[in-house]
Amino acid sequence: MDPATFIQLLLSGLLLGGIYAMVAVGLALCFGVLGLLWPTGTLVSFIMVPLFFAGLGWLTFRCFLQSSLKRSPRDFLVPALLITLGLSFILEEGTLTLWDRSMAGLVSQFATIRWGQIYLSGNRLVVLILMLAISAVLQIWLTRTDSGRRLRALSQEPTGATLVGISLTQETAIAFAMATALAAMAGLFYVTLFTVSPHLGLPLTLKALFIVVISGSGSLTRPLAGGLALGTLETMLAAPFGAHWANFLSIGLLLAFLCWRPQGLFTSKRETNIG
Amino acid sequence: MAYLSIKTSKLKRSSLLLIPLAALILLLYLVPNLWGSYARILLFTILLYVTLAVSYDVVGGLLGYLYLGHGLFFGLGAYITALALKHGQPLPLALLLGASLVFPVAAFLSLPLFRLHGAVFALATLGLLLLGGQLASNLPDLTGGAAGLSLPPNTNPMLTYSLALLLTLAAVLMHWLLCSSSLGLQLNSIQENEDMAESIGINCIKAKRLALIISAIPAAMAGGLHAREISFVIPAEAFGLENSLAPLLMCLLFRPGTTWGPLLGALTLSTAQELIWTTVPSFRLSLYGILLIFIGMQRAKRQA
Repeated sequence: MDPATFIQLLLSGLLLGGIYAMVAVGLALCFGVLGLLWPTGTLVSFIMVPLFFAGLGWLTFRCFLQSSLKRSPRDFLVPALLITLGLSFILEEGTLTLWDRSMAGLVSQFATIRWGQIYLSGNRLVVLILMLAISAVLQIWLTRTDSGRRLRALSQEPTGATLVGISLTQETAIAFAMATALAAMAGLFYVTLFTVSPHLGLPLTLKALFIVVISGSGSLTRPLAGGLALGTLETMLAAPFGAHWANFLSIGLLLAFLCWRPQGLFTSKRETNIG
Repeated sequence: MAYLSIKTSKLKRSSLLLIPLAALILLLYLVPNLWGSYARILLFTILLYVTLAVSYDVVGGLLGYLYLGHGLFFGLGAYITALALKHGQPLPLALLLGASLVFPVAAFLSLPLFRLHGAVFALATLGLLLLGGQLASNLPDLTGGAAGLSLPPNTNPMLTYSLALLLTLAAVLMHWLLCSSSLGLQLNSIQENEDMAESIGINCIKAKRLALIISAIPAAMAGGLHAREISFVIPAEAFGLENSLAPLLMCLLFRPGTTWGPLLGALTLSTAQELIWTTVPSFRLSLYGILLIFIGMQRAKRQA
């Protein structure tokens, strides 16, 4: 592999990783911080305003999930998985029925940047830059604001946080709404890069979830890095093996990694709170 | 064979049931001759669903893990059987080949999988299902790729039907015996409290792996019979999410961990599916969705 190809692959991979990172960061807010799930990928097939989805996520949580969040978030995961999987099926079939096209796509809005032998997709670059900006804002929100601190307190010590008067359901609803909005935003970017269909959700959600579990809970920078790493890896694998094997290998590697260290890469066995 | 020791009293008590059971089997066997091929295909489908639901229950009900990988073994069985049939093997041999090849796969996969718990286990098994589908589409020389594999026409549909009847009987009987066997009780105690089960000397990993293997083999044979019946296998269908979800719903709908629960669930849901297919075809996935939400909320309520 000559250096130009390598750099090309590396850069394209990072740009693809921007998408994974976005979905993963959204999930990390919910799954990593509080231990919740949402069929993020299915929402990727929708092209609408993130604000609307924030409201939808909030409503979904209040209607379906809040009642089941009685004890620690850990016991809540399996029911939440069933419920959100069920919701994603209803959304999928609803989209198929109400929307007569099964595939959709947009024409590229930003010109491709050429730099010597290297080509950069303008669209993906915009996604990556926006992604980094959004993560920075989220990180500031999590560390500098009261609402972010409450969320982190809950993730570190649910019982203690509840005792000092933090409402588990209210904070979870906020995290849920934000994750949904992020997923919708990733959907907006996704449709400028690839064609979308209502079936697209599952593999994407799964990859993002695996990234979150592996990168451990309570951090946004790790899922961000994980998403970028997966995108890069996939693009690197696609060059020698072909795109169809790259997808297979990336899910396979994630699975192997997950089984090797179920508690996440950066957590010791004792402090795990997922699964 | 301490694992499979069963109280003989249960067998004696149930011997009275043998006569109505024999009548039912005879009736099921005669139905295609009496009512023609629609009844045969409908019953065949229901029988396969019963097999899938009852075998799913070993992991999903007795052990109580949320498990989304049942479709993987269904799909593997379908492909192996289809390939064997394509090379001119008779159906029973092809099915046995499917079962005997799925056995080591399940034994191998169960080792890393059971390092995981809860939702992560469910997601990992879902990942395996996706991998199975990808593998089938990525090997076009062997499996025909995404376009699928066509088989020579099914010349003896009655044989397929009888084998399905036999498989279902075997699966139900196996589950019924398993419920009161020592392995069944061990699985139940792992479900209640895994640490406690480990501390009273149950080999949890061994029991869980046995459960996955026992559950995978009937699923593989059901997949093989399905491939023979429709004479066509395609990755999107053989490794479809539905093959994992339908048994899950059938098992969890009534009373997981009992024999009658998944049995009744399979009968109810497959009948409902048939009705929906013929009336409102676009409602099928939504029905799954609604049932999943319902089961999820029930489960959350029980835990709280």
